Amino acid sequence: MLQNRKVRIKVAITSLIYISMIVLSLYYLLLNAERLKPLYLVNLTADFFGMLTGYVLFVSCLIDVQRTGTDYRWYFYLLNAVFFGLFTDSVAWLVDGNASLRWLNIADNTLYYMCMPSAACFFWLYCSQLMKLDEEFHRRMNGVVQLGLMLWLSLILLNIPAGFYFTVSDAGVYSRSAHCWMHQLYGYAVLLLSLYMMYRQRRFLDRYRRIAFLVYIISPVLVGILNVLFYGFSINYAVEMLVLLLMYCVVNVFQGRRKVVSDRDLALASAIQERTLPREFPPFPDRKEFDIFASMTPAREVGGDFYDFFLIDEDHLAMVIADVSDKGVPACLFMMISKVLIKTYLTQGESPGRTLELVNKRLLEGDSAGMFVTVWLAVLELSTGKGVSANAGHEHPILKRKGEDFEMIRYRHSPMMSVKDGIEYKEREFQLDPGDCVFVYTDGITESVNGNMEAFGDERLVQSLNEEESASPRLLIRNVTEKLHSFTGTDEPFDDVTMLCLRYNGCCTS
Amino acid sequence: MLEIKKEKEGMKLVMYLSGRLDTITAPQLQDELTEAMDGISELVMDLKDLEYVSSAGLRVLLFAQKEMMGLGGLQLINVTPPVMEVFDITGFSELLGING
Repeated sequence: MLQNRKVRIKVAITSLIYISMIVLSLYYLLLNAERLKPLYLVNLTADFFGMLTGYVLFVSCLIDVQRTGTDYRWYFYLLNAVFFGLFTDSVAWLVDGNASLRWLNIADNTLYYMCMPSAACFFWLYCSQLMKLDEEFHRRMNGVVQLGLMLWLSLILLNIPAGFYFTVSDAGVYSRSAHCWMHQLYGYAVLLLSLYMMYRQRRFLDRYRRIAFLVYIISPVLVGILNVLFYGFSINYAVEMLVLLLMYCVVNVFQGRRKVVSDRDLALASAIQERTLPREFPPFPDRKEFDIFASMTPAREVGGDFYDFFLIDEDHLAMVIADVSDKGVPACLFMMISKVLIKTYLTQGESPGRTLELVNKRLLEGDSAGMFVTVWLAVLELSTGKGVSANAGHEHPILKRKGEDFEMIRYRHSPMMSVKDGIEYKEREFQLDPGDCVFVYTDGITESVNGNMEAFGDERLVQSLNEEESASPRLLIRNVTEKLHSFTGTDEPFDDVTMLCLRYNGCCTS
Repeated sequence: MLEIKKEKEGMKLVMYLSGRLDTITAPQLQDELTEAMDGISELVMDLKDLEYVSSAGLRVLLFAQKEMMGLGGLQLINVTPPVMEVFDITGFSELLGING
């Protein structure tokens, strides 16, 4: 799932830190449970569950990044700020009143005070990322907010000697100073600013996101009121973590919906492509002169390979196999055009060579985005077994004469199509006798590699055909597929895999 | 699995390819080419140590040839028999006018 080594190490280290913080706070909570006030116990338990939620969110985001490539950068920062807020909060309750831990108390509370403005700043940045704000005004605001954070954090550091927010007495007891409320100014200012931005840019946000963000902005105020009413009741970060969970769910639901739509489009495209290839076998049950079978397995939902066969007239069968030099949707579009053009010219009675020449010309009229296509095609006269083929840079066909083994027919080919105009495609004449068999394929077979990066290759292909060389076209293709899968160790092809096989039975076998 | 070495002599660029030029490594060559081809009038690719070319690799070579058209063109030298066979099968040798 996590391909990159660097990412894996980062994830492992972060997980370790997260989990040890969670375990640590739980351990001390249980250790001190006896002597703690009930209200503190409530706080600590809320902190503990908040941290657990944070870790689960972290893992969910990671999975999402791998699956959909969503950019969670500022959300991660926000999550971390809240997580640290929870952790420092729980530590603060545990070390308070312990003279020997006075410095830990100061350090922890300083960190705790830093979390709130950081979270507010990251929330702002996360919002502007989600709303894709790129105006001059917003870029300047981003700068102001980040600069403000720096200033505010240094003020909090200054509190250690000056003590204007809080002090920790020699006995280790924490107490707020008169100006304590001021430390929240920056955070509230940024949240207000976010509220204003949300209002201005509301068209970028759907209803659910608006609600989630609003809850995030309002919840500190509500918790603040609770805080005033019941001194010592501090669950603000736990609530914030819950709102983060809500935001994650809302964002994810919408991404999920978008993905479903594109998945459905691809599935439809895949079905359309499949239906353009003849899929019913036997295709001409009343024709006894030949048996034919073919298969195409795309590496992705849609592919660039195709095969085709059809009767031009009562006595002529056309066979085509082709490979576009790419995969996925672009190759699929190019493949559809090529297929239609080839069939059109062949059914109009053009010869194989002339067909390729004309198709090449047509393909070059459009922008092929650097793609090219290799094609082997042949027209067979069913009454005599006489055939004509042309090869535009496609793999060597494999032929079996009756009573002999399959053998690769190597010869120099004409160039592939959609590269250069004015190419003349050479034609080759051949003769099939009853019992002869032709097998054509794409390089997805010969170039498939196993774990040691060895290619399947021509020889293995010919061998797999020869294992049962007199089998029907259907069985021959099944044998090759099985051999290929056991060689690569997977049945998920890396490239499109396509095969076409014809056995000629001769004329008038009744 | 594809190693690319470059030597530039004035307007002429010589690229030494060794290893396999296939679906996995073709983007690497494509990137190197796009970067290196500015201000080049002659491009030579030395394929002495190239073991294998797939159709994705051919695509990049075609791209180079198209880009160099009108300038000094693309020259492939020291093509080994297995690679030459791929060029022959695909009619690529005819396109580029190279001979084994």
